[in-house]
Amino acid sequence: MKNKKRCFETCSFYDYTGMEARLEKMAAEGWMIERISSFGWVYRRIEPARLHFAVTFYPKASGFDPGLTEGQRAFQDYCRHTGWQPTCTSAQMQIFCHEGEHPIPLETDPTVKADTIHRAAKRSFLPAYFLLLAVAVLQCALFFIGIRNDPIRILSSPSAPCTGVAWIILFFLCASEITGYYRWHARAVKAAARGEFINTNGRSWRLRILLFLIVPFVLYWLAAVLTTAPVSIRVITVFAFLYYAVALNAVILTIREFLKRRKAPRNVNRTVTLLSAVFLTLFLAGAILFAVLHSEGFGQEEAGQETYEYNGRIWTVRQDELPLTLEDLLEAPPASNLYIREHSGNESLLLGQYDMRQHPRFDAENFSELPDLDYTITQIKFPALYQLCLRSLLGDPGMDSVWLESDAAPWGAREAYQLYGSDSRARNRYLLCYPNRIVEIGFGWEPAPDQMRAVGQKCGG
Amino acid sequence: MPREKFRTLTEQMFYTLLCLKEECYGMDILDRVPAMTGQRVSIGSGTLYTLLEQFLEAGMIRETKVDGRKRSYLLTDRGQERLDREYERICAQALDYRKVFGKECGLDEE
Repeated sequence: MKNKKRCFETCSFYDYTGMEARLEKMAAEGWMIERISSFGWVYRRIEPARLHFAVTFYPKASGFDPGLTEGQRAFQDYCRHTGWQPTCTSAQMQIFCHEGEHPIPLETDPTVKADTIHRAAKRSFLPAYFLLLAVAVLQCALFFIGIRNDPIRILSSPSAPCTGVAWIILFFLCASEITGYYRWHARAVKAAARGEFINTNGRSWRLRILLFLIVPFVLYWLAAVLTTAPVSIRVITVFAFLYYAVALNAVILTIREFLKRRKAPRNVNRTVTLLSAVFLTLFLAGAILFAVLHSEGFGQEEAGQETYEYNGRIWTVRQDELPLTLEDLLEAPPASNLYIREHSGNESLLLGQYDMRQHPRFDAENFSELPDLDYTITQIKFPALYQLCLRSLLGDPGMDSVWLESDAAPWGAREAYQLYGSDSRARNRYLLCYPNRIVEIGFGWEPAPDQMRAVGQKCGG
Repeated sequence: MPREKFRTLTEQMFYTLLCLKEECYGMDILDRVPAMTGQRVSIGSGTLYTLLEQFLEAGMIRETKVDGRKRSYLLTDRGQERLDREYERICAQALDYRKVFGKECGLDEE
């Protein structure tokens, strides 16, 4: 039989009423709070008992203190005097338990209580929430600007939609906590002027919903990466996720607890822990960047891949599979060994965008005169996104150019657009709409009808 | 902040200061107040600790003795003045009450 139990409690930081009710319920079920950690509240088994709990705040305490301060010890002496036994502390929060039937409450003056909670909130919870809110606002703004300017890039990224939504949820979480607190505090001060206590407005259900909402998006991100990214990127992603979500927290907490055990002063502990957090975060970001840049999926040589030297540099000869090649379009294509075929892009569960290039090697004779081919396929997996993608592609041709509708029939497409430059002359660049994909393709020549048909057959899906 | 807050004393504040007319340990106030008020008023230990800290900061009491973690306190002139003001406010309230209800409840004006 388990004698310990770990629960992730989702009470608001100031929700002493909710916390006390939760602790009393747990005691009645035979579980006594033992300690509060960053990885949940730990309970130990006891005989089920009807106990009273009081959650109070000691504003001068800090999570970086090497132990209870003299003031906290004196505070606990006062509480013991009236039968309230200290049960556990977590930074400013202190939990007491009373076995008596009708104990004198630990706090009997509503003015003092509201003021104490407010002083504790101003020293720790509120600055932390405001800082997180500011970061969330910045991240949400970047996400929405990205969606507006380049929705395909954002939505085809395995991570951007997930992190964007996670930041939106975090924004609501911080805003809900801060506004909830200030509304409660304003009501508590008014009630205290009448000599009344008011309960905290338990928002644990709201917090729980917001936290659980993040889970599917994190799962979506992991699923997208694990099903679409190259193997090396999958390994890096899983490693980074585990590091950020678990290991980084564990290491930072270990440093803080180690310094507390060594009785390091509060300021020393805070400085060392914060510097460690910054260093480890930057170190990880650098390590991820290094690993990605040196991974096979990022233009690095795969084992045994052919290379050639030109102008003192080594170039990789990629021969990726392409749906459409010059060989499909030209009656007498140049020798295929003169060419490099590259296929790159991003893919998520919503969208995929792939860039295809077939271009001559630099060391090929007259390489600048040889024909080349480049096209981009936007694969729409979620039909509702089709118009958004089309609008985005039509809206940004660049260089004062404009897309004008042209005959779609030769391409076997539903719609077709041709690019016109600022001089109003047509360019050999086309945007072709097929049922689940949009193809943007450019030629170094004017395509013939059979070449248009070949594009439709090979790229139209 | 404390001065603003102590413009009007709550019952808990009033009795805490009253107990400190004579030097006493903070913890003893927890027993003295119920005894003084016939169990009508009790002060929570958390509230008392916080009040003593705030009175000390506001200069309304001073520390007289430190015995380990036990500390004794005494009312200062500023605390006495504040207590007097509160007494006058309460008396004024009582007087007003008597003016209105004095005869009905048998509390004739003196």
